[in-house]
Amino acid sequence: MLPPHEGRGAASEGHAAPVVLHGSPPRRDHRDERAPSSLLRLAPIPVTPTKPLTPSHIKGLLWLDVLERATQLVRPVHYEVNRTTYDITWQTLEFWDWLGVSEVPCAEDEVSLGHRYVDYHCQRGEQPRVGAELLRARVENGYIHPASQRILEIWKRHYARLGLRDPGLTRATPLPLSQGGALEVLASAELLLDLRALGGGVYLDLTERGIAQRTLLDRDGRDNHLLCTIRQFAGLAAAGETIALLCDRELRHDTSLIEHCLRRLGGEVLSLSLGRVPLPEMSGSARHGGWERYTFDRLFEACGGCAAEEFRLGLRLYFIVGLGAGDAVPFSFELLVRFLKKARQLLAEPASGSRDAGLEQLRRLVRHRGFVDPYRLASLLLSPGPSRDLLPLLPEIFL
Amino acid sequence: MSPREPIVSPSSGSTPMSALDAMARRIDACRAFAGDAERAELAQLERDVQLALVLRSLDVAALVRGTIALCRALPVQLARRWVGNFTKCVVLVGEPRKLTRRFAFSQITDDGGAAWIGPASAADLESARRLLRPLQTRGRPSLHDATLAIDPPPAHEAVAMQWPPPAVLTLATEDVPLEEYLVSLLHTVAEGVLLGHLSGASAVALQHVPFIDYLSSSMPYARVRKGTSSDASLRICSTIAPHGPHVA
Repeated sequence: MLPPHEGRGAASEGHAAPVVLHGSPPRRDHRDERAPSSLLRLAPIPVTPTKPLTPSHIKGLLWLDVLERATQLVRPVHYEVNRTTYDITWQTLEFWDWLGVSEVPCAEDEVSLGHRYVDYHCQRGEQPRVGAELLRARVENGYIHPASQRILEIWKRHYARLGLRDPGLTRATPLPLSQGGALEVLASAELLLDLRALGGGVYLDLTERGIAQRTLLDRDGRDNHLLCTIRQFAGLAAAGETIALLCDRELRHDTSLIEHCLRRLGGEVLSLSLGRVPLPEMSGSARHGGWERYTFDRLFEACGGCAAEEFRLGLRLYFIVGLGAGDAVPFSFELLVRFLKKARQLLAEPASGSRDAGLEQLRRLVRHRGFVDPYRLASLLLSPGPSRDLLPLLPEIFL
Repeated sequence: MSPREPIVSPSSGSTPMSALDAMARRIDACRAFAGDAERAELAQLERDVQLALVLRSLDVAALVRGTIALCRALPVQLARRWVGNFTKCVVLVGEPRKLTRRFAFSQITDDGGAAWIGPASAADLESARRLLRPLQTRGRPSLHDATLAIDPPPAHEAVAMQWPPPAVLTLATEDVPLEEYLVSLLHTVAEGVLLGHLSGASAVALQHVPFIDYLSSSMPYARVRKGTSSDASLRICSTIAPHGPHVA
């Protein structure tokens, strides 16, 4: 089987779905041929450190890494990262509370801890855990459970092997807006339906646009990840900043709602969603297990013997071009090996092209979507002709 | 209201929409419940005509007034079909002001805190059900008793008046979530008007009590429902009476 890019023109869509952008691309005057130069704030939905990195997670991290590194060569980029945003979600809090009760030794490896996560989801009841309520205030102020701390330490090693910059895996700061503050901001923008006076919940209300209501606080006063994300980014949106939301395609609907909110508050918002990587033994989320043969360590072993640069470039090409943005292509070790071979060939080529011409290609991509679309960039790299000008940029973007 | 929650309604006398005719259809439907074909017919009825209340804030008096006005304005055929479907209703949350271009409200309160859609076929209400969440609450806000003047009925309804105003509408509140309370209120007011029990009233005295454990033969209407799973006995949700309180 040929990798989907071979024998095709530049930026061919192949069988992999193109990047899905929701909403309108950045508004620009048609006469303005310059790439946008304002600061782009990357706002990925992070992986919560409660399970091993699986191919779906690795795909997201590599896409994000290439997007950030390529875009920042021609446009200022700031990676917004704050562990607190997702550590305070009830799913994480309840798992941590359950772990605390279970007295799990924290020297366990990533897989053992991941199995704890699967066990927790098998055993969890319908009723909320009281301990999670007590934990919430501590986590709002930076607490992390030792088990997740351990997972982050393991992930730092994985990041180093993947050539990923650590954007601040352990960084945790209180969210810029309190829950009440965020609700006030949303209410002032007429985005809220507040039924608390009646004993009901609080809803994001975009019904005038034909968008179904979404719960932000349920009738018991429990918030969800939407409100946590809004607490993190509403202030930036109100300041007119440009924010790129990057998410798992499973969360596309919620991300689209956040996008509407931030845009209403004054921000310019882009979003990119990525499909998960289907695994033969795994259906659905990592919480259901089935990922044991596909953890980072297994993947690294499967690529055994290849040089670090070949590993980094090959993985990026495979996860970006080989799997694409969609979720139709299942994970395949065989195809990964073919991309490693292609990476070896690219690395052996002399970087004879013009770096300036390569940068101009990046500017064209940024003009198109506000950021460099990793799929288009990686496809260009694998195409004959102008891709030679991208070779001088390989170390800065792909290694 | 489901067929397991029959209204106890010894209705008598003529009314503008022939309450007996409507009740007869309901009784027929209930009798037919045991047979497959009849069950299908009943299911069809249940799918048919419904009312949706869209709620942003709570003003019980305004809800009673609005429901009375809505019922009085209903075409007879539509009213029959709705009563035949046990005046089925659903309470959704929403900001009516944002929805005026999307839905044709039958009524809207003066402060815009509540609006009614229908009665209409379930298919016509589908978009509202998809867009708006059902009301789900914990605890219950304070509910105040009140005597509400209502618009004078049309002359032909006044003729059918069976007792001097005001009518007393009593609702039980203990262990009743707001969403259930509102459904009970809508059923009671709607059936009170459509079956003639509130037709002639120029005022409604709204009374809230923890439990209703007394029924009088002078009460033309009472609504009952099954209790909780641990206590499946029937409980009286509401009554309509011609005079003062009939609650022990």
